[in-house]
Amino acid sequence: MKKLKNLSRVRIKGLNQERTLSKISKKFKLFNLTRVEKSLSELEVKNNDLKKVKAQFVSEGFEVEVLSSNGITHFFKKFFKNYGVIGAIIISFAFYLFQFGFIWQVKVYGTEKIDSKEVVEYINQNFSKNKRQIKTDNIEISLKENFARISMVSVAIVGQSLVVNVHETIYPVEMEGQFSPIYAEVDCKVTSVELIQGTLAVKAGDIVQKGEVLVHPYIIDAEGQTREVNPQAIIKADVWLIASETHYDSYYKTYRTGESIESSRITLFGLEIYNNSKVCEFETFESETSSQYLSENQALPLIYEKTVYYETKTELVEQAFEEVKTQKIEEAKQKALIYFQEYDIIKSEDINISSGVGFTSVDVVITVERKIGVNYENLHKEN
Amino acid sequence: MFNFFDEIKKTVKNFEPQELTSYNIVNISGKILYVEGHLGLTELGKERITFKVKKGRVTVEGENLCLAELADSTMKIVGDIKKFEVL
Repeated sequence: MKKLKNLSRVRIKGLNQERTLSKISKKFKLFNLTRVEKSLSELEVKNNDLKKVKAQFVSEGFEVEVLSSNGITHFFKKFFKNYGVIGAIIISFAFYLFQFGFIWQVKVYGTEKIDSKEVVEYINQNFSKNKRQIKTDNIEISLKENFARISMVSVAIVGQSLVVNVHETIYPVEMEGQFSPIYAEVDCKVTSVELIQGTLAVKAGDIVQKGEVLVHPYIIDAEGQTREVNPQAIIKADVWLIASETHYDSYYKTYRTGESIESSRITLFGLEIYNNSKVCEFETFESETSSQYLSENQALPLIYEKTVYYETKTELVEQAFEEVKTQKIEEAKQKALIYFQEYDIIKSEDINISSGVGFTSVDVVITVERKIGVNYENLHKEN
Repeated sequence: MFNFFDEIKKTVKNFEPQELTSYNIVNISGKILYVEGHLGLTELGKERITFKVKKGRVTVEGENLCLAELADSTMKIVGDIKKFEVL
């Protein structure tokens, strides 16, 4: 706060100071007068009065030395005498004004197919960076003419950036080129084909394997030229959903009796600090172990480990196939229907039961009608 | 305009008003001495400051004395003021 006061500290040297101080104090206020030595005193005067006070002391025969000056007025006085700093500020300001007239950055928005670097490079090469010389209309027209994919473009100067907003042309799929054929997604028998576009590779009645081409992505025009097209066709086929279930006349079944023993322990950095293990007395058992941190932030990595032993028993099960025949057929059907898709139409179901030594096998074949054409990408996604 | 010294003077009936016009001194907690009506500084030191008043001289004694403000007729002395006497 003291520095904000507009005061200057002065040292005066001379004899009989009191008389002069009294005389000067009649015109100017003096502050913080202290006697340093017999003929040496220090005092403070207002910056505005400094010159006059100094002159008066000198006229009275005193030596005057200004020790320091504080306050805003002094700061500005000092500042305006500091030509180096003023010069630097003026130069900086001039440079700022000069560079403000130029574009330093080109920002391109809305590009997907067009490389924005290409647009920036084009603008940098063909247009001035001087703001006054830039006509955004010209840039817009030029970009539109030189970039075929640009359908709309707007250019604006924002600060020291040239902002280019691009709206790209969306071509029909046919114009994009690079088409993939339609492939069979499963093994099947083609039942009907309705070609929309492309060249057929199969006909109704053909049996095809998964991944085989159904429709090629090209056509041969009247002049015998091959032209790429996006293949489209509605292809229906019979698809077989196959599953089997095996029944054994006798087998060993292991099950949990419901009895269990639980043991637990707590470890810290791998060292066991608590243990509640119990001796597992089961003859046969299954065990499940789980562990978790006791603290949420794991600052102290206390790990709680729990093991549960379940008693198991194994017994021989003997059962004739006839007793579970319906159940086994249903299970086999359900297995097959896992592959059933939305819009599939069930055409037929075939059940084949075959027996061996000690076992009986149930094979189910469900024939469904399905649209099978998929493009290459989807085929690989499914795989 | 309200004047602190005038208000005090009004409450005292023992003196004629013209007898109370030479100078006023206020000692604030022995740290600040405010003087009104001095007629000039005669001695400035860290342990003693003396100034003239009408019909006399005032001496202030103490330690680390500093004349915080000196104007035409007022002054403010700060420091550890031990005593002041009017001669």
